[in-house]
Amino acid sequence: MSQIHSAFEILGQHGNDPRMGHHQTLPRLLFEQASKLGDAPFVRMKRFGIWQSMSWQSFSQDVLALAHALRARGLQKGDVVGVISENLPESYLIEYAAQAVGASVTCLYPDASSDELMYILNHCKAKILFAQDQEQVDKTLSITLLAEQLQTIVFLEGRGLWNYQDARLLEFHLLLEEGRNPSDQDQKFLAEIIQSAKDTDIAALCYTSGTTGRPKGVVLTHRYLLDSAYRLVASFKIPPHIEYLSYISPAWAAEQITGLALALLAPAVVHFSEKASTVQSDLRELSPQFLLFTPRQWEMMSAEVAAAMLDAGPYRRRLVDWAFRAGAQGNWKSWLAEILVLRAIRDNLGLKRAIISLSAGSGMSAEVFHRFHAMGVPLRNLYGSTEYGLVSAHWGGAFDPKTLGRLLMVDPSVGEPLRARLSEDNELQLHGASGFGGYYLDETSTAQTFHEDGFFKTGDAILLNETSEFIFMDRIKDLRKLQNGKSFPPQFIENQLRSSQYIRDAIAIGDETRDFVTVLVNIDSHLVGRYAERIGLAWSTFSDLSQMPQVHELISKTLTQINSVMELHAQALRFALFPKELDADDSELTRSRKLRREVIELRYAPLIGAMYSGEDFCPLDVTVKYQDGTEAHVRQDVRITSVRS
Amino acid sequence: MTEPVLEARNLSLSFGAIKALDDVNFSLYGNELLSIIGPNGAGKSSLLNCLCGFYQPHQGSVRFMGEDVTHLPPHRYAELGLARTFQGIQTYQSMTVRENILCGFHAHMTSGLFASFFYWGQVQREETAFTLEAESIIEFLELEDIRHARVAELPYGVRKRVDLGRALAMRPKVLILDEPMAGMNIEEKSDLARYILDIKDGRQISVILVEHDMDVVMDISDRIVVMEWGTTIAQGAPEAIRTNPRVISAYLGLEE
Repeated sequence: MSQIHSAFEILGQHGNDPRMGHHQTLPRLLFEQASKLGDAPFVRMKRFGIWQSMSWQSFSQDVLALAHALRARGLQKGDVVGVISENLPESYLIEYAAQAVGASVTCLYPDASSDELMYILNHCKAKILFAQDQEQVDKTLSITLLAEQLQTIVFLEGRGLWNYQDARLLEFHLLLEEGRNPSDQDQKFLAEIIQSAKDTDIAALCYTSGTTGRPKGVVLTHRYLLDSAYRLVASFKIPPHIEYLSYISPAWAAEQITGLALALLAPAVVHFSEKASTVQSDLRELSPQFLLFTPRQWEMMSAEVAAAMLDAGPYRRRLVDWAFRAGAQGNWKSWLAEILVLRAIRDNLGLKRAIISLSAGSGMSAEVFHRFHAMGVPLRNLYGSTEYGLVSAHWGGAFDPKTLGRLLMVDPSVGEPLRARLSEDNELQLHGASGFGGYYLDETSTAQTFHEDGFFKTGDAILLNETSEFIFMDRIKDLRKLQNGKSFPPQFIENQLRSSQYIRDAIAIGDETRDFVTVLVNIDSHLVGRYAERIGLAWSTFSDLSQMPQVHELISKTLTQINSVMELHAQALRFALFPKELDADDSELTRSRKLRREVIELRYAPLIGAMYSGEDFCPLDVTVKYQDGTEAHVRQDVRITSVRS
Repeated sequence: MTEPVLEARNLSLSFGAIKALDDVNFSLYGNELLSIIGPNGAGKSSLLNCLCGFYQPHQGSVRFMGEDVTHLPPHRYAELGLARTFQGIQTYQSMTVRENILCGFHAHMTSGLFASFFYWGQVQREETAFTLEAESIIEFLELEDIRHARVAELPYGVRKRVDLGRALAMRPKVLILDEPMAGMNIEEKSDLARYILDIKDGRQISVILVEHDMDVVMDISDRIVVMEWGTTIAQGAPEAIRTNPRVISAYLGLEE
């Protein structure tokens, strides 16, 4: 057992915001807010090209109706309901309704494969699944293993399902109608269930993305969700009726907290974009006050500005460069930059009214962070774990892009404040607050995550800076040692690389059998393509573009810069560019776009070998899986370049 | 079988000495996708033009919903519920996607020029109602992200979809598509095929499709009519047509 340095223990604090959880459940809180707020808008969505609101009153009535319908169809306390859908008002409705009956939900990413769907639904024994559309219904019907277990498949969009005969299929609106006129007795029963529910009941199951092994279902209790939401509300002083954009998937614990729970606690007005393809224009129309994106999404947004600038004339480009520099200075120049440039950029990105903008999920490079700050966007890091909820963030004004901030303030009605300490190998361990509810039906794994004295082991390697703020290094198991015994942080190198506008993803290679670090890079075909056009290169496909010597030259420059801040042993000495884009369909990324190292290192083993054996080219044969399930082979000579120091 | 929605009886049409159509008979039933195929010059376009009133047949009649409509002017066909898209792209380039679709409601609009100029209550209500309907078509054809984009800026496959949307705005009972897939790549073709099937199943509109891509035709049609030299040489389900010796010889030439 690793030794604990008690000197490294940090104690968080209680919040003083009155909006506490008070042992409520989400449905109880919803009905309480609805009786207070009545006709005030709770949900806004775009229908037929126009933004439409739904009040607290009518939303909570729909929740009740759906709860009655679900109960009539046999849903009971302790059951699990599956939801596979993009973010829609209906997905909120379903979750609250299932919880009102005493059941819980597990949300899945809409692009989950039928394998993932099968494993998760089978594991949690869901009898009812809500599927968004024909695609999800087809996926579900194809799983014969679930034929017995799944009794009802409710679809939200009927398009294309006109001629489906399966008796288990049911349209959402018909189900909702079933619960519209409950008998007095049913009303009494449901009211009792809602009143008797405890805040320690399971509200949702969140299956972890599984960068290692099979996904585990993390239990999120009502107390966990409301406590985590409180940590944000209190620490960031989130004003009531803040306008929130529901964008990240509810399959991720973060949306369960910042969306489903915080919307009730703060309360917030939740907005839904019309479709995945209209998010950008919807974002601009809405300009929400509160948003939470992953670092990749922020990086893409920043890359978008960079891409637009590549198309602009030289004068405009210079003006914007100047404005970005001036914006950070905080004098009359930044005032001028604000009026001339920055306000318009924020407006275009839909960040005009953003007062709380958070980045969570993995590390983000300081450069992207600074770029948004120069634009006048108050971007902050947020850190948490699915198991333990939100842990730390930049709150109370201070922010250092290198850190993850300080421990958040905890709901006093829940328990003691968060306590954090570091083990000998720098693992962050946590105690206090609502705690970890365990893995669903998996006591062995649950027990393994706790230290003997009850601290929860996050598995994250953390450093503390002089003001006791967290600096994220890597997952403990992902820190890598080289042959010479010295370790290096692969994620840090990768984040630095990704901050280049030309790089979409990168993976740093090196272990006990290697004596130096190498890098594989997935270029941003859009921006590198523009670059190639500008310097007059002709190219056809991604694999063609990625192997041009001039493109290698471009990436090499970036690596030289990164190496200049690294210790000698951790510098990347050689690199190659992927001849195809990394893709979740090829299992190279998780659905939330995290790299799957094992898969990549296995698939590109010959290329990695060639980088270490000093060759300049490596013939590579890669299998590509298309979305319709067909496969193709890409055969390519992949170029390997040494980084000039 | 139920009453046909659209029926051609003994249609004949000639241009001078050339017999473009010679005693053509076929029926289109409710909720059916009927394809008309045949080599170039077989008379497919002439037949379509007769079916929607552009040409007056010299003999025979066209019956729509049980009524003889042969001698009605083309705009009456449109009002009755017969819409058509043409070969190539016929959208209004400088208008947005939504404006193009709104144009399709032309036959159903009642506001006059004078009333529209003052934009009084009734006109406003009418515009709202039509915009709502246009939006439901936009949703159906998944054009939400480009509803305000100018059509001229859009790729070919998408413009064809806008064209289709405008035809749907005529609230047709029968939709005639004249070579909608000409010049499209495979992806655009399969997209469009999906939309055509959805129109049939989801909106209960019967479709007549003239198309050269045999894969598409065999894949999505309920029945096929084969034409050669102005006459129909075969009618039936795709499997029957595929193996019909007369059809094979018409397409591949006779073995002597």
